[in-house]
Amino acid sequence: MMRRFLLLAAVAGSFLSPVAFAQTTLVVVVNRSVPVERLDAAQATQIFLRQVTTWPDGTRVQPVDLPEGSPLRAEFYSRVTGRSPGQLRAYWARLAFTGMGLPPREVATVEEVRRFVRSTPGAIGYVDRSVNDPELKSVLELTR
Amino acid sequence: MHEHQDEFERPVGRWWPAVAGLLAAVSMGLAQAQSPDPVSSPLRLSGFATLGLTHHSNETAEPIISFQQESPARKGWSGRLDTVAGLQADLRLLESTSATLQGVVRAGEDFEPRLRMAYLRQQFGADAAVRVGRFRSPFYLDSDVSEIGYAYLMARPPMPIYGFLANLVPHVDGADIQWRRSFGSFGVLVQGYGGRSSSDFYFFNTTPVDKAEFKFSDIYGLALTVGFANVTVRGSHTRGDQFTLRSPLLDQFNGGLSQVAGGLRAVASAPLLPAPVAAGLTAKAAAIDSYRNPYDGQPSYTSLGFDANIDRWRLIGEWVAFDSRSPLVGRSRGGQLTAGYTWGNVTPFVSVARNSRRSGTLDTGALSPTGLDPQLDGAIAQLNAAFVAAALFADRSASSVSVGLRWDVRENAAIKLQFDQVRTPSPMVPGVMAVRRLPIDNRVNLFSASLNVIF
Repeated sequence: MMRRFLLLAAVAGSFLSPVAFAQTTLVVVVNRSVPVERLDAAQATQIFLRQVTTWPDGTRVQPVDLPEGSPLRAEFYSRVTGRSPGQLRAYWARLAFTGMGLPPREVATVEEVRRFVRSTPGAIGYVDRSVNDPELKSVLELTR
Repeated sequence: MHEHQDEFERPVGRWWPAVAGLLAAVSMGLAQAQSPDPVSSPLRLSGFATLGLTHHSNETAEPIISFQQESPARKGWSGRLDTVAGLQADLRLLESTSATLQGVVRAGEDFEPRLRMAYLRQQFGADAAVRVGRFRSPFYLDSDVSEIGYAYLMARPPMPIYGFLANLVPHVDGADIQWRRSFGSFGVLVQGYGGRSSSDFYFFNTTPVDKAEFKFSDIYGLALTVGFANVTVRGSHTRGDQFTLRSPLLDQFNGGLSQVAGGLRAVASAPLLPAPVAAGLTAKAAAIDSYRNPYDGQPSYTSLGFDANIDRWRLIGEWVAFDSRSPLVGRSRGGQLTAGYTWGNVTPFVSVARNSRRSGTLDTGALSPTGLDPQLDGAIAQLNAAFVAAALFADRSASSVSVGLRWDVRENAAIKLQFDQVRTPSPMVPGVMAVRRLPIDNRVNLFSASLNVIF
């Protein structure tokens, strides 16, 4: 009985005090040539919503997305931009059907994100923490 | 002269291909939640569709999206107000050059295909781009997306400020230049545009409904958008050097003015008439001549708005000013405020909007009787009555209160339910509705249900 209670308390505690179980799950990474060391969530939002299109040195920002339906993508946009997939679709519909902009390039997997960001000047993407690539520069870590 | 047909009298053959196409568009949207990579594919086909039903019980005032809408939403159930479908093709020609075509059909325009966008776009570096051709008019905050139901929160942008002014000019033929720049915590988009536009305009207060054509030339404007992470602020100002409205009925009206002015000049030339009286009649004739084409002007549109996503709140606000520089249409001021709150996939919202005419009473003092010729005075009285009626029907003041919800049922489909109460200031003000005669029941309770998809 006491074991069950402790188990329930632990599960409840995991919801009530997430800090105690904090771990990095998402990392925003950029090409090593990008002249930025850190980004905050607001800056990442502006980049992935394409409100900001150049880095401070004038290099073109090249964001890359995972496909819709990807849990990592949903988590990234929910936690960084505060927008649901439906809200994002509406945002891009507004730009695409008025000719004012298109969403970021999409690639199929985290591995492709890694390759694209590593090889493309100005590129920025988001990957799972498990991706450990010294050729990428981490600029924002999101903890659960 | 346009012959206005009842919806049940329309030939079936004209409807079914468009309706079938619309249903196919909605089906495609529901079936295809995933879109191809928009950046790497050289050809991108996409589309949007809204299947919308409305219900109201007002026989004297029928809601319209704009005065281009040939068929208003009649009393009872109607699909004419919001039902629309569009297809778009984007073709990347070179690394920085692309071409875009977008066609639209609306139920309220009898599914006549309309070209909304057809332009070549050239990107210059990361910051600047130029489009040449036809593009959606950017006069107000939501005027360029008013037909893309999935892209905004409500069933449609608020009718009091979009119904008359913004939706009237759906596209501009010309060029625009877009310049983007990042400034620390915000990004700036400057859009300068110029060109011309033309389309139909329906006068619903004539029998049969008079189809006019407007031409809006030498349009030029500037829009400044400042994007923060959660708030976008936009301001724009648009001017046009010449707005003209022509129709068979207006031609008759102009003919009547010319006849009366000619009659006055003939009376003034009578040899026995005292010189001061003759001079007065000549001046009156000149004044009546100046009443020709009373809707023509040099309009200007100003809009200041914001769209904010703050946690689960969505707040949208806009102030607009319109000056037709036409003595008959006058100036107006308006605004809207919309608030929504998102729970999961559902966003209930409430919205208020108002547009008020501030001026626009044409001084028709020259149309007073002469006391010299009963036949001439009879014609003058007729013209004066026509002006009084035209001035009443030119008053597009209206307000609305709306409550509703948007339910994102899929990533590319949203259902919207909305109730609007649209009012005009008095039964003698038609507002932004199709009105055949005054007075009207100046309150319309409008219920809307729509399925909005993109694909």
